[in-house]
Amino acid sequence: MKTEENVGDQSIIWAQSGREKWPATLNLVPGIYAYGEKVVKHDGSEYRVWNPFRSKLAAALLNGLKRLPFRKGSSILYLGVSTGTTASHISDIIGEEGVLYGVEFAPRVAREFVENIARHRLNVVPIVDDARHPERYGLVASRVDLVYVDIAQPDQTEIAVRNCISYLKANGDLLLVVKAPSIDVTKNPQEIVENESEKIVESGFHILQIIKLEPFDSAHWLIHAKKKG
Amino acid sequence: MSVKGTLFTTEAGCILLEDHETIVSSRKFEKPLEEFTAISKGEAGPELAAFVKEAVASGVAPISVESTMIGAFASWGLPVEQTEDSFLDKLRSDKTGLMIRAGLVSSEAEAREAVRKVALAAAEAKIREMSTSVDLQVIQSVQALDEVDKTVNGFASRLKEWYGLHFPELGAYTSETSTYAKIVLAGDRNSLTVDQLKEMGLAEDRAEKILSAAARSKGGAIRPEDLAVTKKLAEEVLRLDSLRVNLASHVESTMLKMAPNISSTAGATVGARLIAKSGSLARLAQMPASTIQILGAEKALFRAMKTGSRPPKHGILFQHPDVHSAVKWERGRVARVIAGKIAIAARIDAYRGGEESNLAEALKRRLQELKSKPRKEPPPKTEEPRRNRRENRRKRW
Repeated sequence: MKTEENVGDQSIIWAQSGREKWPATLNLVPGIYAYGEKVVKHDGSEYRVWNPFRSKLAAALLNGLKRLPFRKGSSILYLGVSTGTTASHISDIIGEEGVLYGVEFAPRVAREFVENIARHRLNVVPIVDDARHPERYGLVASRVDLVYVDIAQPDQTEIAVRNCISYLKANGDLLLVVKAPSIDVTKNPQEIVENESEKIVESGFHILQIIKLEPFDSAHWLIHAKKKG
Repeated sequence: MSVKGTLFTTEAGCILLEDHETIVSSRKFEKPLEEFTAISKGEAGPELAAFVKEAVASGVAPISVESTMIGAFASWGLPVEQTEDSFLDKLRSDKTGLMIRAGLVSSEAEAREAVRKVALAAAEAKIREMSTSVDLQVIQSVQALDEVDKTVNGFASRLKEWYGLHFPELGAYTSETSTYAKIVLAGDRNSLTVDQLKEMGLAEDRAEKILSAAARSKGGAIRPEDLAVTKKLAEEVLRLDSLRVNLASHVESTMLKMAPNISSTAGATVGARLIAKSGSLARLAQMPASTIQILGAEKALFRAMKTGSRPPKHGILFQHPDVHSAVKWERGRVARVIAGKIAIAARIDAYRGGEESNLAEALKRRLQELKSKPRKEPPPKTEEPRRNRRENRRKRW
């Protein structure tokens, strides 16, 4: 039970967690855990169970995301990395040759991200800055394979697109978490998602998949898009 | 003859290129963190500045730099222009290669390590800087104050229930928590004396009343071991109460220093709560008055936006004495006026500083004006049919 892209990849497996099958990633830094996650042993290696209630990317995987748009060696720009729960699993999968630039502006959560994730993982580069101003962190990031955006702002799609223009490779992927109430509480969530995907298409992307994240997160969607070459 | 050059900065050092490809010179930063921090603020640190001046002296001009750095160099009269985006992009995509060829690092792994190290140190420095601001201290103190307040109230009412079994009449004569707790500490109701009560700061006639109430009390006897634990609780109430007083005065004095105008318009504690709710003084200063007016009533606001019901008139501002003492149908207007002045006050406090005495006076005058022109109680609102309500509200907004 693997996603197509990751067949033959040893860094992600499906593990039994209670009654459910959840993904688990090969711990890049054995013995060091990110958020009190469950740990399972597989073929003598330590895997960290990826909780879909804590990570929207795991929720998307369970809800039918066809492929994870990154693999060993990928480079990723992650906006709104928060305390780094999702980032830690991505870091496991991209391995030592990969790199994840994690942008977070709120000092309180950025502190936990730096302390618990970035300090231990050599493929994670923390950036404490505002995702609204991609030119500011120009020094750190070069073009990446994937831009992952989870920032819950009314203008999040515009911010995502601006970052993609500066930092995403041609044919690179965009994963955008849409939290409908953060964009407009008065509108029908479904309408909002359609609206946001339209904006993405107008900015030069194909939409590959739109995944609803219920029951893990209500009124949340994940849009997977690809930048046209 | 002068040659055109391009400056490319990396975490490990800076590189000067000619003809869009040849590396002419480079300089490995001795203090990469300092240089990097300066660059990310659009400034040039001493090492970068020296490097560019040297390049200009050797006849390279103009030098193209990243758009964010133009100001820094131009202000020193150096001949700079902006690097074209497409070229900058090309440089960035080959950043590691450039770093190696320029001799800043010896391998790809080393380049990545250099980038990471600087970014980590910069992130830590930034977090440290962001955690230093005084408003974070005010936010923590006012939230501690609110929590302690809640705890004291809970413990105090428990104490009144408990000691009330023994002396139920006492509550009617002492509304103040600390006095009540002190009387509990004095012990059995029959052992109280006027002198004891006077020492606690009670007036003589009040003390007499308490004693006569004790004499004809309907309360039951209390066993010494029960009284002993009740006293322990009273001690705790007193201790927490003094902590509360302490926190309140700390909030007040910090607010008066940090945000004198918010303090004079909203009151120190309410002002501190507004800052806490908005996240920081700077954020509060960027909010429109209408947002400040309903800060703390988000739930009601979102419900109103969703269902079209009536929006809230006040949030935290309800705690402002002029708002909650106003009659119900005037509160919205009073809250709006106060919020307007707080918005101005916050901007002065955040950006200019200093106390603006006119502000509080103008607010006072305006509130006086409102009071002198009272409105009549409006007739009760008839509920519109739910389906139309949303549309109608929209129009009205």
